Amino acid sequence: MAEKIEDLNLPNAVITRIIKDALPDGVNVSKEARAAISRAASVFVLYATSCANNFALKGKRKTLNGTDVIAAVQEMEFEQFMDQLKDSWEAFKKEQKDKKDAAEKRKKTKEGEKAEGSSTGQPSQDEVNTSTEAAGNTDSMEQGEDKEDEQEM
Amino acid sequence: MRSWDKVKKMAGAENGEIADAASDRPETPNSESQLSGDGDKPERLSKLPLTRIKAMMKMDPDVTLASQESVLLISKATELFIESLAKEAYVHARQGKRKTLQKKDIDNSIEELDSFAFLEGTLD
Repeated sequence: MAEKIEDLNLPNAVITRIIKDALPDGVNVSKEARAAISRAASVFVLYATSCANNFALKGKRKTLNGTDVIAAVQEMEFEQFMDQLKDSWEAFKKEQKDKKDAAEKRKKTKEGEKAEGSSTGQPSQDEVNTSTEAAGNTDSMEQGEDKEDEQEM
Repeated sequence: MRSWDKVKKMAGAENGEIADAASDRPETPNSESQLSGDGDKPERLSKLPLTRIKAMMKMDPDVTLASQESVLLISKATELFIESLAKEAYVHARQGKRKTLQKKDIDNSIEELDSFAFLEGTLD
């Protein structure tokens, strides 16, 4: 697996698209500039990750979570990103919830078919399993001190 | 599909705690909302490929595990960063009466903004 920044970078087409969408029509980007931005983006990922990881370690957690990233972005002085980040986070949580609901629905249908009509169903168990496995860690135990931060959102 | 299992294993995610949804399908350049998509990407939360972002995050030896939401947020923040850097570089291009962004515009942006200081020395 790649060990250097040079080996892992983001797709040029996507980077170009993001750049173009951010700039007025008619503005061009030289190849060197685009390569520089791409490289800068890679460095950003690493730096933000490292910063976020420090927050996780401070909270004695081994899993990076959303609040760690938010805290990192703030520390890196990118306050202007906050609103959009939070919007994305909300959209993501909603999507996870919808997925979960859809999965439960499918499960119930299956169970109903298997049991030939006598569905006992223990939804609460499934719910717990699903939320621990799939939906990241909004339910994780490490709420602790971070909860205060979360409420600001 | 097997290659993605390998990526997960190499990334050390045996429990699949790292963004698993993306590993359910091979290369898709968008977010992990695969359930409803017929390839139309109705709810694309991230323009950048989450699997790639995840792989980059895992390059940090101190990172053990990363939740799906953290990968998504890093991705989104990176997208915003790219926009921000491009816009700042454009200011310099205009000062130089150009409509084409050049590398020096990026360099100047890095020198000028404190928040871009972490990039110093990394782009050469």
